[in-house]
Amino acid sequence: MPEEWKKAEILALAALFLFAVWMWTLPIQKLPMPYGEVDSAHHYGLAEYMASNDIVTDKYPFFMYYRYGLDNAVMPGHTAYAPHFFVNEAIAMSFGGDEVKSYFIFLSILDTLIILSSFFLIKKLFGFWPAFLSSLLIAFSRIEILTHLMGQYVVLISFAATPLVFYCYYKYTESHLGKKPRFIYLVLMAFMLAVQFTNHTQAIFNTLIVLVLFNIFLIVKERKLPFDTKHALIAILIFFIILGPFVQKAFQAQIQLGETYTGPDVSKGLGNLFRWYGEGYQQIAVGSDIFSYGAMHALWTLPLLLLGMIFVFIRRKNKDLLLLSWIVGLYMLFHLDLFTGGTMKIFSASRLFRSISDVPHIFYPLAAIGMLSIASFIPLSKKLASYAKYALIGIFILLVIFMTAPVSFRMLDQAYPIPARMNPYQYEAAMWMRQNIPEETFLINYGTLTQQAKRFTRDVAQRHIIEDPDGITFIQDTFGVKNLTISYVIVDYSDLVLLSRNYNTKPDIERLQQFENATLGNAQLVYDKNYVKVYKVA
Amino acid sequence: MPEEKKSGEMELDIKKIKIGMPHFIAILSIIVLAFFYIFFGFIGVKIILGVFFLYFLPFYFILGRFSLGMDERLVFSLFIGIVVVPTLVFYFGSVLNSLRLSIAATFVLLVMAAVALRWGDLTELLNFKK
Repeated sequence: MPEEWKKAEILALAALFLFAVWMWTLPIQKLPMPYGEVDSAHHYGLAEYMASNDIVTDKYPFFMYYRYGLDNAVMPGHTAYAPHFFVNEAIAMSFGGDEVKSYFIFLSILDTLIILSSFFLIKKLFGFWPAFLSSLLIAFSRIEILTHLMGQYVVLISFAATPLVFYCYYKYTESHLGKKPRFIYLVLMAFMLAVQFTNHTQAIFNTLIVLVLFNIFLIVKERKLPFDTKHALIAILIFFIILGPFVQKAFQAQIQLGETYTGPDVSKGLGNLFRWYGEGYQQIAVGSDIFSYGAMHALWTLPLLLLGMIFVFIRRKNKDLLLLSWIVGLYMLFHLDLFTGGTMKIFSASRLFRSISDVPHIFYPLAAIGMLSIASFIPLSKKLASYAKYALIGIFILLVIFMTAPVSFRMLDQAYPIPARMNPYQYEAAMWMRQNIPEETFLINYGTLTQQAKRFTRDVAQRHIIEDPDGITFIQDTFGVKNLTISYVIVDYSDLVLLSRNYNTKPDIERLQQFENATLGNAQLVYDKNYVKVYKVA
Repeated sequence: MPEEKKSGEMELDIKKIKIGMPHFIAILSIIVLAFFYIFFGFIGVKIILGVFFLYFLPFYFILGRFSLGMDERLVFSLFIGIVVVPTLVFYFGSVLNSLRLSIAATFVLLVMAAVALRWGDLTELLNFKK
């Protein structure tokens, strides 16, 4: 097993990691305003609530309760997941000072940790070049960049621990089969599983399926159990001790989510066995591109992936079996609904969809191994084989730079222009609301153009700002609030004014002015700055 | 001519300079700090130093108690920090009711744990034991 680290290799890894952190922070470098889809505002909001109020909590404040308060069936009003991500980000905000920048810098560090963990696993098992090439591809992974941009950060952090779980288990089984079991690796594995569990439970499903498969492969090959039952039980106990009270809460929340899910099943027909993703996924995803191999991984990697699979299948060393278990396990996970006959709602499309973030972590190492294996399929002298290896490495790097990197870079460089994220005027107004409007107050927002900006305005203001009139009905129906009083109305022209530089937004501005004059004529104007107004109406 | 030869002898031969691992890590650390300062200013520096001292260093020392490779200690320290630090901060937070105090208490506890576990190594290092 190649274990030595050369200084040049450390330097290459450090350069790649720093480059990834720089590239993944481009959206915040260009405009230091928070961004993200759907629940990303929730992640930001809870962390910032802790940092700005100097508290630690997993209980939803008023401004979040009437949106997420019932997600946790066991402890209503508390977060459905363990609070570790929010606490980590709150710590970073405390260190850094500037909340927005601190949050997104630390977030990018956490989200790119997969580069380190994947590099570590592949380097220890297959050597430097497969590790470097696969981590280079992961740095430009479009699936992960999309996940990072859209706000499923917790999934990325959770999956970043996956290679380390596998490394620990591989090292333990090797030592056990070599009759010198090293229990410390199972202890480390318990900690890595806890990293997965406390960030997003989805990665645990993937990991367990892969570990079961790997055990089966090892038992068939070695004709004995690859682990000591006592060691395994103690490791499981350590895992539960680390998690403490969080484990029960997280399991309950998962079951609740599975039971209340009403979306499509993943797949029903057997034809789906011949597809990597079942049919159901198409209906829940934000865009069909995410299921396209060409759009997400670039087609040039496909033959290399197949070659890598063939190579590890032919060789079948234990480390090869680990990678085979990983890819087969992931395939099985994407088809769990089919295998379980659709009886377990927890394995439905909305849950399993999260595992898409794990796909690059096995595809890319296999593609890198596939590329480097080409030389081994051709009979060459030792000297020529060495030249061929470096030629293949060069070609791979060029393919990444010219075929994969440009699109990935543009995704980050051009992400979330205004109004897809908060603008500085809205941010300033939100901070004013935080300081000047009572905490347990309902506000309503007119004029902000996008859901993303509306939600971040709510979470930066730390006040419950209802996005539109439908939001009032939602709170009344879901939470049984009969007498909901709107105390403040926001009239936000800032998006329209900023857009007027490039588009004709004059008719929209006039419509908003008519609405303001007609409905808020007698209300008290309490904030009027940078095209954002706040009226007190009750 | 002799003078030229003399000055030639005094020239630095870069190829003969060997950088040991401690110096290499020190240079790399400066590069990392410079990177965070250039692109993110003092906010970036504060975050990376916070990550280093709170999330990484205590666990790196603690893992030194076990027979693991340096590379394993480097990688696993950081990941263990991601789960242990917020767990402790959360527990302290429910008692102290302050995020900042909880961070400080967590750091003190981790340093104490590291010192307790590595006491033998520390005393040997400081030559307390004769």
